[in-house]
Amino acid sequence: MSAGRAGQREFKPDFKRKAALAVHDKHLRETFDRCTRRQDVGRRAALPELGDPLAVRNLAARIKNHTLQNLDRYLEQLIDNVEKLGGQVHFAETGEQACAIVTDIARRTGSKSIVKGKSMVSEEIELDDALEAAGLDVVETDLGEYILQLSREKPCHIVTPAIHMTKEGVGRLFAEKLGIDYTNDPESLTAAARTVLREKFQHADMGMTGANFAVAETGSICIVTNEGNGRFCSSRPRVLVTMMGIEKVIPRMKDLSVFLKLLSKSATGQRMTCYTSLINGPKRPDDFDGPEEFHLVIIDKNRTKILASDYRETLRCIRCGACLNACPVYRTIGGHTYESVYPGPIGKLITPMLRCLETYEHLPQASTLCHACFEACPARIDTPRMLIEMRYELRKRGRMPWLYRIGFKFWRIGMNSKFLYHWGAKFYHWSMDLFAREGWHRRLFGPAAEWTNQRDFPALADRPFHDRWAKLEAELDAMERQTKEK
Amino acid sequence: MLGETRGQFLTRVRKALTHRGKPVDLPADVEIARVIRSDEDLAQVFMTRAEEAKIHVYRVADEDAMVDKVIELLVATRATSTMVPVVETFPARDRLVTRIQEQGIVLCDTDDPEASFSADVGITDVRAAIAETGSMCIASGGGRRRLASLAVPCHIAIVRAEQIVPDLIDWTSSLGNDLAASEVLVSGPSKTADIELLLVMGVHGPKVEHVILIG
Repeated sequence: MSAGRAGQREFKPDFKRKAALAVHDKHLRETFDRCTRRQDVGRRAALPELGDPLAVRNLAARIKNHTLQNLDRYLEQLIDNVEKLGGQVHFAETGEQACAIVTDIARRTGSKSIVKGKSMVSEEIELDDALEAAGLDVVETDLGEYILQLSREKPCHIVTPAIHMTKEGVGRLFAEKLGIDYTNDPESLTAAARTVLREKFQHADMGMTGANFAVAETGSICIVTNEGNGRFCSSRPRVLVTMMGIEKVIPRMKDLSVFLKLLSKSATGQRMTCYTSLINGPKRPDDFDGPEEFHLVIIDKNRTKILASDYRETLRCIRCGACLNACPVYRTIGGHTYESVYPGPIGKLITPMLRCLETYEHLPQASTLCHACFEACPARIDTPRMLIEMRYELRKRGRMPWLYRIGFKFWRIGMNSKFLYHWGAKFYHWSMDLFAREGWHRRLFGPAAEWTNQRDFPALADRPFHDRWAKLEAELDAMERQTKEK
Repeated sequence: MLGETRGQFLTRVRKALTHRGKPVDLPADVEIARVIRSDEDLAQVFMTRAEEAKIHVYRVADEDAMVDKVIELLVATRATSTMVPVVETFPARDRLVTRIQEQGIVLCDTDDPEASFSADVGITDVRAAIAETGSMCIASGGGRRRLASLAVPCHIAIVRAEQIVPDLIDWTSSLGNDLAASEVLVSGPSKTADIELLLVMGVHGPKVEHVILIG
């Protein structure tokens, strides 16, 4: 894994080829389609319970906007309160720094074995590799992440990281790596993982978790899991290290209730996730168990760059994955095609920001701008608008393909002149008609071939809308008059 | 020193906020997100919603009936060992412990850190319960072992009706500054859907959650 992941630094994404492969992988496409639709349906069914879900989402957006605007103040308050509770706070500007801090905590506390809960920021900084390189035994304890650790793969979804795998695939993997008899029964497979991980939990020196939210007013870290692994990691080992990006802070306890209401409903359609843990510092004198040491590592990793930019809104993201589930592109090409820790609509926005816009310049283009992500987002992040802004930024940096540039130039000239528009449309209509058969184009040429390589393109209507408008307008007016008279 | 100092880090954050933008107020209250009001039948709402979350709920009239119910559940699950926290405020603790021992069920020593891994059933009290989500809030401290409601295959929580608050909003406001080192909301048995979104119960935490509601 280390070689593969380290190689990521200079890698060139191969989005187009991977997307084409994914589209032709019928099984993969069906799996993603089924899983994302199910979670999307779940979300739609769960949210109306909130009475006026839109108002609650707007409230969440407002709380986050306020927090981001005053992030320095809230971070200070959080740090003070975590320290008051007996926790130690560390600061990392880069992923390397964060990895070094965690490795050092492990070394100083004499920790050899580490149990780790699901954390997206740790994926970002490739922490597992750093810990393994330091000779530490680290195991992922979320079932999905554990499967990926065994198969040496990256997550394909923010919430359900291993949905691309079939139960047969997991069965073969477990048979090979854990030495159990092959089975494709999810219950037996889960039981096998439970046995291994339980042993790890029992003997681990150090637990590691991410953070869903950090409450500034109390210094509480909130983690949400269904399996109970987050709770285990933060309860059993004698050292606990929690990692969070700067954007996870929220001002007050009551704000937490708003986000808890939205998070599980948006992510999995559950009213509430099974375990919501609040960690308030290390164990106290009258506690039987719990970590003796609590470390909070606050990570920047280009987030301040986003904070200063026009894309600040993206830091409102609570990583629920609702935009992935709603996205027609994600549903079709799956998560791995994005070659990023964060796939889907939100990934298209933040990956270029967190890493490098030039390397990921294809991502803002890979969107139909259908707004499904915006409709789904509990924090009301206007992803389509920002994708357009990012495309504009790419154009300003001269990263727009020549065909686009010339195309849009002609487009602008044509659209600015009534004469050119009219005759251009007529010519276009006539020329397109030449190639259509039975109402469909089977094969187009040049750049248009990219469309017809995958699917047919509908022929234009016999009469352009423009020509029909005069009559349509008269009909509409008549209808309107009739309604008024009634 | 590894990483940055607090000063360096916060300075960078402050620099990124040179243009803060038009000030947005923090909403004074979050009542618009309320789902359950305090004038509803909280016990009923709690029971319905906990059951929807696959928690088994039993409503009993008083502490005696609660003790009977616990014994009944222990017998039904063929438990050979169990844990009860050493907490003075635990409902009818002495009676419960006597009855458990009469049944020949081993009462694990709460001082033993490994006991939670071998006990068949963990019994705990709760700090609060939430009607909106059917959740129990389990706090650490005062003789309670965190793993007693986590590492065991079956968990029984004892809830008094007056402990039920209507909404998550009420739970967060009730916490105040009196937070235990660990406050956990349990809203169902441990579960996963990580393999093909197929639901499996009992991953790391209890496979079975019982709640006995007194009153």
